[in-house]
Amino acid sequence: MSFALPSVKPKPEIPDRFGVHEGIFGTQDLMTNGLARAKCDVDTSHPLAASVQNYKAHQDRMNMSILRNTQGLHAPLRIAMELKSAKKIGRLPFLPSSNIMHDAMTGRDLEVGPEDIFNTLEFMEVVGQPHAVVERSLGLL
Amino acid sequence: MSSVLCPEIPASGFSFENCRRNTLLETKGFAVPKATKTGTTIVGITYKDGVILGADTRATEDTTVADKNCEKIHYLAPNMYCCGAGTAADTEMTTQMISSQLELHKLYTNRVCRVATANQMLKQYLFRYQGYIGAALILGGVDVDGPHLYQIYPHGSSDQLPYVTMGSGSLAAMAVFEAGWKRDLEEEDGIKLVRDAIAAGVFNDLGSGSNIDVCIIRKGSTDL
Repeated sequence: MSFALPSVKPKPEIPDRFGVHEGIFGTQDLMTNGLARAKCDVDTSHPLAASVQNYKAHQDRMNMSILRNTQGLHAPLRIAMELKSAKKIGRLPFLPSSNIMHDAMTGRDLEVGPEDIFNTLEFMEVVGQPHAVVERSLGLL
Repeated sequence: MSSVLCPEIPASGFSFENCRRNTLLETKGFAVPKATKTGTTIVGITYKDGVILGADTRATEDTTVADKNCEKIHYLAPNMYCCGAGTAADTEMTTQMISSQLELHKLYTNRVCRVATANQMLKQYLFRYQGYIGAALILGGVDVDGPHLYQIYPHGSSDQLPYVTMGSGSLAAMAVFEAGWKRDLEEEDGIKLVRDAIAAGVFNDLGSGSNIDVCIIRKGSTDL
């Protein structure tokens, strides 16, 4: 019987394709991306960067696989269904969501970590053009 | 994929943006600025009615004294306090974060928090960052199960012991404990023992000095 349990420490995954932000013509699309993104950012800046980025997703995957092994396939499926419908709730299409329902379901509303103290969304000084943001979310950009 | 029109909003939390720039600067010969360490002696003992924590109050920056009277005994919960050694900012922020989490936990479960809960939270947090957060902690408190004392290392391991010392002056303080600690000490004897241990650290270790802080945690009350 295979348990398919992932490792306790999140390991960095090497992606199949190193996307160099290609545009329609197969080259760097300067009009939308600009010159700054010309280099691809796959190289490791810090040994911890990959682990920290994937920590939450990795922990969820571990918990779901343990749940699947103990309670059967239905358990992670039900939870995933509820989380998916919670993700659909939001404000206007281009605004970031507060994720209240999603946080209450995952238990993040009881946690305080560096993501709630450093570089929080309310102090972020960048904003995207609404049409472009919606186009990106729909996959048109 | 990012673009000028809709820039990628960086994830909140620790930012690794400047790491590449820092490695480049290091190869060019620019020295990395040193973080303020606490260069400490911190101790804790369990006595008859509870837990006594002790700490010195000197914070060093390499060979200079950065703060002559800094507080190393941090509040976690009304029945739990935590001494911190290592990088001063790391111990400060870590204990504050875990204190907030414990408060949320207490409101959610409607019970007084156990020391084991705080220990587990601290362990998991420090292991997540693989030792890059330089916080060595002594956690002590009294809960429904009685008095507990834990020592937590920066990489995320922890031990539950009747008496613990940490920091650069830990060897001097441990020598005092090994000679003088007995099970079920009285409060005055316990305070005297902790004071002697910190004094040993203060006199024999260059990184510890100034004053001695003592925190007594009993079942119903705490004295700092």
